Amino acid sequence: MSPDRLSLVFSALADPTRRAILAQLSLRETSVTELAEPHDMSLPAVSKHLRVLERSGLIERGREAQWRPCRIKAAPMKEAVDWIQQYRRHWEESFDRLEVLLKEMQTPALAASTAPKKPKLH
Amino acid sequence: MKSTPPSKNPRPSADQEIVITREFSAPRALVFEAWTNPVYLARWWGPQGFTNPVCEWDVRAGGKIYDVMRGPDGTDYPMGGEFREVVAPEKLTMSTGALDAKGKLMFEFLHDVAFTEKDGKTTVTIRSRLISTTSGSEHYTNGYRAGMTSSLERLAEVVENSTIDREIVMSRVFAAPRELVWEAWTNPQHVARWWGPRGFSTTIETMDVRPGGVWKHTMHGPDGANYPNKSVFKEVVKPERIVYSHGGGREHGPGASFVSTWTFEEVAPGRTRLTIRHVFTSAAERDFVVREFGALEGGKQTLERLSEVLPQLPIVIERVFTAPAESVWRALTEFGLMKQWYFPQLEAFEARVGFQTQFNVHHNGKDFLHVWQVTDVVPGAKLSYRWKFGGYPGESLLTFELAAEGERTRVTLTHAGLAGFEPDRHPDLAPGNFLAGWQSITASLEKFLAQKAALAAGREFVLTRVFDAPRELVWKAWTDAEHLRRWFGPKGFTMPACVLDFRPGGTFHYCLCSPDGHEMWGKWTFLEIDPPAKLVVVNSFSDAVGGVTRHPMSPTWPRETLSTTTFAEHAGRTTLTLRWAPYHPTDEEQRTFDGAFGSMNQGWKGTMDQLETYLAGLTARK
Repeated sequence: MSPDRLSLVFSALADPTRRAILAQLSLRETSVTELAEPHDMSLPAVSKHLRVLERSGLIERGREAQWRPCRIKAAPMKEAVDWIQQYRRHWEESFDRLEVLLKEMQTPALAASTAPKKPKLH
Repeated sequence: MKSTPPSKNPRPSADQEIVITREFSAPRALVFEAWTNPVYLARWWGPQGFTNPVCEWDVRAGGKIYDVMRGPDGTDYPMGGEFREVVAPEKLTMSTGALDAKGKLMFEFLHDVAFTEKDGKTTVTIRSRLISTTSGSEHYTNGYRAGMTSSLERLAEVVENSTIDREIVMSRVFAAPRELVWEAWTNPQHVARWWGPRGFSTTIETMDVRPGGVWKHTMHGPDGANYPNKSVFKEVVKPERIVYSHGGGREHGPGASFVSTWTFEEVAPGRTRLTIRHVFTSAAERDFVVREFGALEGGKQTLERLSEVLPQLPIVIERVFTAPAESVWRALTEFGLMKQWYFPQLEAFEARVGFQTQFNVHHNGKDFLHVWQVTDVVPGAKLSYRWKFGGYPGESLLTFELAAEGERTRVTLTHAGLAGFEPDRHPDLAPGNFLAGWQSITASLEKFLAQKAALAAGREFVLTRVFDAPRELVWKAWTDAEHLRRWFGPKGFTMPACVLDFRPGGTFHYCLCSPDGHEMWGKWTFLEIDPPAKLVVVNSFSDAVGGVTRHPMSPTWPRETLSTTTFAEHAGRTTLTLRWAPYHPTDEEQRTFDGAFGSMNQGWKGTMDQLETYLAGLTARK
């Protein structure tokens, strides 16, 4: 995804209502009326959010049925999700590794061999 | 009731009978009612000037009496007793006697009370015999005749001069907190479960509990007859009083109208006295209702049904918080936040179906192992988990429901299934305790959200984790280069180079290399070092020479972020909390950060996982 596109995506995701809409759409295609319901919001207000999501490339409106269902666009959504998940994983996996290290540090025999040496310079 | 053994002093004189008679200008049924309804007894039992702050009379054969008579000078005289026989409306046999400081009878009188009616007047004849006594009781027993005669004067006032002839009054104490009794009365879903005598069912068409509101319901009798009722609420004072004017009766039959007052009084923590008072326009109307609809017995049975339904009712607390729905959701689902306002003893939490956890809370000298299992998650809107106590019976279900109201959030908390904890056997688990607990916890949440509101302006990403190691060790792992390179970075990454200058103003400059050989430089600038508790760092992307660069993939990603890491130790384990927010961001940078991490905080972790699953499904189908 181009850097500009990513910024558009994050801008779209910055609103809690839009995130909730995406959560709903990740369960199934949904009509505008159904999307509006849990938020006690007028249809025009919801449509405004949907336009932002469409412009960012995250959703599309189907043409098939009369009710023009909203659905998530796989590729752009996937790139955004991957990008965001990567941050979470960075820390969670780091913490997993930290856990292993801490266990070692508390086992006397291993602790001796992992004692800090003088910091290297590059 | 056993007689107390006589002492050296006067033997009980079983053949000495005291007879007291008095005539009342009132029908017998009314006088009998005044003698057998604790609400009325409280108004006349005892000599002039006395009151009855406690007046528990169980009017049936074998029913116990406990009454505290309070003298004009404030001295209390507890009295115990028992009914031997009750034949309405003609006679009663009961025993009464004063109780000593230990609650034992000091003496005992046996009374035969007869009620006879002639020409609209009632004669009450009391034959009393002292059946047992102990030394020191003469003071009381010698004053019996005068005291009872005085009581009967007060009884005359009650039956002759007041309006009790046109009212129906009854009262009952429930082992439930007042809010719960109020809820049982005012929530149409609950009311239908207990309204009416045994054998009746009730259909509620509308019930709008507020002044001017209408309540329409139909009672269905066991004989198939229907009784449509309509009431209009006049006063609704939560949680103490409800007043309505009522009209209704048998379908195609005679009806009745009256004004009804229900008062809810907390007599002790977790115990509520409910008093009903129906006032009719005339004595004739009142008698008609009692006769035609069995109102006295019916009312009694209604209250019995209520006492059976109450333990099954869920606790429902609704509260509006001045915080956006998202903050509330985060507070309810993010482990690190939950520890701050909910249960500090919590060891883990994830808002995903199937997640289980347990933790111990020490209370009242006992250990309560809380066992939770998440059953339902609708991100931002609903969270349910099963809640039981290790080693105790039963299982409850706790549900939080959120509804955004602009900048505020309405939270409805429902805790159901509390009867399963068998509160009679385990009083620590009584509904009153849960109600008090929830009120305290929601107050704590309110305070917490208010504090967070200030931080929300900064909007952070928070991550928490508990490590099985003492704090000093975790600190060491974070602040020594050789250790850092062993754990910092995702799985499969290496740190081919790093330089650590660990002091305020110093930096940690590092290179992370991905499994496919891609290199990325980063930099920490230390702002605050507070060993072994806190580390405040400015993070940024970097290059080989230590400059500050932007994220290669996003030009609007915050150039610098501030991370605060705190280390807290409890029982040899360390809770690490990492908070991360943009550092002096532009509006665009803030929005970009919000966009990513608003979705990323654990409360929304479920959303991301859901999206990933959905997308994986789409890819598979192609």
